[in-house]
Amino acid sequence: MAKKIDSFIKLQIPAGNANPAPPVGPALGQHGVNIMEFCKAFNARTKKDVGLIIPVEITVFKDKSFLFITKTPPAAVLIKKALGLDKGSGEPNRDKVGIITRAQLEEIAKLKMVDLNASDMDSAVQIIAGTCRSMGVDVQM
Amino acid sequence: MGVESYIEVSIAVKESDVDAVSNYIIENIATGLLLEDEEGNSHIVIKFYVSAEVSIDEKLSRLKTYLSEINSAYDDIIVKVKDIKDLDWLELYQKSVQPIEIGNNIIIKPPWCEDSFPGKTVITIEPKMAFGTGKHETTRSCLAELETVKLSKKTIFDLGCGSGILGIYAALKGADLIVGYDTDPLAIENSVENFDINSVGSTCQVFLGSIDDVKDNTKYDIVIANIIKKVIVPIVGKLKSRVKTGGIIILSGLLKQDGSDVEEALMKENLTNFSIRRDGEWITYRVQL
Repeated sequence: MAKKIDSFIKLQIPAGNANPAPPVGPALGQHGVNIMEFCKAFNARTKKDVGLIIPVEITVFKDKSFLFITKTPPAAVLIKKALGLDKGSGEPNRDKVGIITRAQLEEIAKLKMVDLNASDMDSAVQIIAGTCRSMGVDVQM
Repeated sequence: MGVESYIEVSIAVKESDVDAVSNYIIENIATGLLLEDEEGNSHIVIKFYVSAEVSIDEKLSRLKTYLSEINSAYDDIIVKVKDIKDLDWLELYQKSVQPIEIGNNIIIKPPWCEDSFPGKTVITIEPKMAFGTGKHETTRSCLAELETVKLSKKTIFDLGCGSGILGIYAALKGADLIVGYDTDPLAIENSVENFDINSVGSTCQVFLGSIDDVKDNTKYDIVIANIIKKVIVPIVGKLKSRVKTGGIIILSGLLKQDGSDVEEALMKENLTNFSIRRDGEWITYRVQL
């Protein structure tokens, strides 16, 4: 039967490790979603990616049933992976942690294209480059 | 789960900064976060939670420094901090799911509700991912329709059985056999769990598949299809072929505007003896053979 949507919930949480503590508990609890049911399903679906932060979008229906989709890893995670970085910079204007090339930006943009609000490759690259600068990664275009 | 106090921190940033700021927070302050659209503009509110046992003043000060560095517009950013004390999210969730009464005599309750309801038919359903609380209008209508039928010793075919709720009710009212089909593997898993919880596993069966996957020619006293118009209209003839003479078909999951298409499909099969139950914008057909 068709269902009416009640709300959308967007989270970024560790793969394979969702639990009822915040942010999951308050985010889902306030919309009447079965918290443990979500945690079990999310952990099962993301167990292969343990160690990564996964963006997840949960659609809650009026009858409190729900579905969720996991998105591509955040651009910041892909940037760190591409450059072999452990962390971004806490002071990105002064403390630089790496340099990224146009080719690397395009690789990341291709992976993220499906989730980015970008009309073409060039604007997608610009979005990823902006994230790089905010992490203390210099961009070589 | 242990009960712990938390501090909820929220900041509103431009959408283009969400990835970098989220990354900073996850690397330095919290293990997860919640993203919400801010009303009235295009900013996104990032919310994260830290234990109230630990001071986060220094971490928040560094976060403000970081935000200033990435965009001078954040020089005066407001970091909202709220105490969230002694909440057990699971308990709160469970309290939010209350027993509901359907028709004249049916109660649907979650497994953790221990209240008794003398004289009522009590169905226990845990709200799960694919199937909610049983509050959906079409579930309600199908149950209300079944409530008007003598179910003792009857056989029921339930297409799109979902949580198995309709079959469970029929079994509790003395039906001999309920056969459910659903194309969603989650439905099969959920139905089996619910049959166990309600101790009706000996009379209820469930299979993965559509009407075309039903290989035998068994006819049933009652055939139910609570799905959507797009699925129901083309298979009215197949549903009819599974009903015994004198039996009934219940069609639901239909919106008011679906009525003309459904009735056309019923007419084609010479199914002219029907009544309509309305609940909000939803309609349910009871067809008498």
